[in-house]
Amino acid sequence: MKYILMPVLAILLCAKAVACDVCGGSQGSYLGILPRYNSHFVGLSFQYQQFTSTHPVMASEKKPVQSQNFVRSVTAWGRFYPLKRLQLFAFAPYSYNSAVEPTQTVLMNGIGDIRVVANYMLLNTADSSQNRVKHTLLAGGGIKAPTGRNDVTNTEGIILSNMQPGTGSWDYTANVNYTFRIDKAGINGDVSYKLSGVNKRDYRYGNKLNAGLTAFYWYDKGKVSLLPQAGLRYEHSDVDYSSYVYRIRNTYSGGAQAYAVAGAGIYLGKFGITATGSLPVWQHYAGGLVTAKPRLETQVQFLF
Amino acid sequence: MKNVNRYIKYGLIIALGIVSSCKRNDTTAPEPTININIQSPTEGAVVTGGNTLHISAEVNSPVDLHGYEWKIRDKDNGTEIGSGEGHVHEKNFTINADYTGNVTKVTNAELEITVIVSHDGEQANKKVNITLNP
Repeated sequence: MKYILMPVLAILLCAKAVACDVCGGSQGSYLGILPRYNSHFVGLSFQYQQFTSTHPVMASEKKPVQSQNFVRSVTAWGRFYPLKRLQLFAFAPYSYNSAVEPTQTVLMNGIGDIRVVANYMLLNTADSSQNRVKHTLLAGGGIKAPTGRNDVTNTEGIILSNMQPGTGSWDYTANVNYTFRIDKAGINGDVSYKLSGVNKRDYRYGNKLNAGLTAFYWYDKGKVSLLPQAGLRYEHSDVDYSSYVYRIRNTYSGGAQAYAVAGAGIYLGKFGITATGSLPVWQHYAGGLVTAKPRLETQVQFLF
Repeated sequence: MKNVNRYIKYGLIIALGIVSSCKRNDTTAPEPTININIQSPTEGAVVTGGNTLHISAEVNSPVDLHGYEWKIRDKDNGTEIGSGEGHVHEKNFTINADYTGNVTKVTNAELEITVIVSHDGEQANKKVNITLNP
């Protein structure tokens, strides 16, 4: 086989956070295991996640308002190698989010924030088929432009900050990614950090840390390759600032969660399809007012 | 090509260091100036028995506010004799409410309007003194 099937985790940072003040949750980064580390590809990714939010009430209101928040996006993305050791990713998402409250359903659709990420391969022993033990170390960073809307309101004119297609800010990311492999089995570890900017509304989403450890195994059967994977991830979000100039914190935002991830990819020739599910095993978001439900991601890729 | 790779490598290390070390100093933030202009009742207003006291105020803030409440207290003993509240998510809004008192004696009272600046407990308030007659 000309190409050694070496999975590389690409980091897809989904920068969204909280506020109306309590809506949805801090959607964190997610990973997809990518085949053929030295190939270009283009693809589509679909992500789905649900949150339950409890809106605190003032004294005269009878009981807290519960809402269901659905975050869905389709992302066109690709990976390109302008240099042998340099990989570039580009992501163009389209979101169709909804917040279902007892008296209204708010839809927030539109093009999201376009993002580019560059990773540099600091270490790679996977090219040599003589090595049983292989290492790959990537490090890089990215930038996200405020191309998505961030001013969609509900019927009361309230901006549900966490459910917007975009953040309205320029954000920056840094990530490190290491893969260790013996024959067909391997482990991947990665850490990423997102530094959020301030948007025109003076709202600043919290910085975000995301780290994970994933085990994988490659099965080859003729032209078909199967890649099951499982692991654990942790993400932490700082609180948002509802006004960054005045440093007014949105205490109904931020938090952390750990979740188990499992999935599988199938690769046939130039085509690949991957499905991944994530199940929260521990979480504490927005002071306990936001609960993240299991999330699902599927991808299709065309490699060239 | 070796030089290009070296520059990229060093650039990455520096960029990672910058991003991971960025932390703003929150102690230098200015205080938002929030204006609560109570138009009714005016300072020292006297409300005669059985009449409705109309409460009207304009609130202007440079930051989004989260709600407001008004309270009327007996100043002699601190007892709350009237209250109301509202949920807002705006910088500028008007408060309109009515209060019908049922005091049994001449009462030196105060109206206090409080707006909620943040869920951290930051608030702004304003008071006017009034007299309630039975």
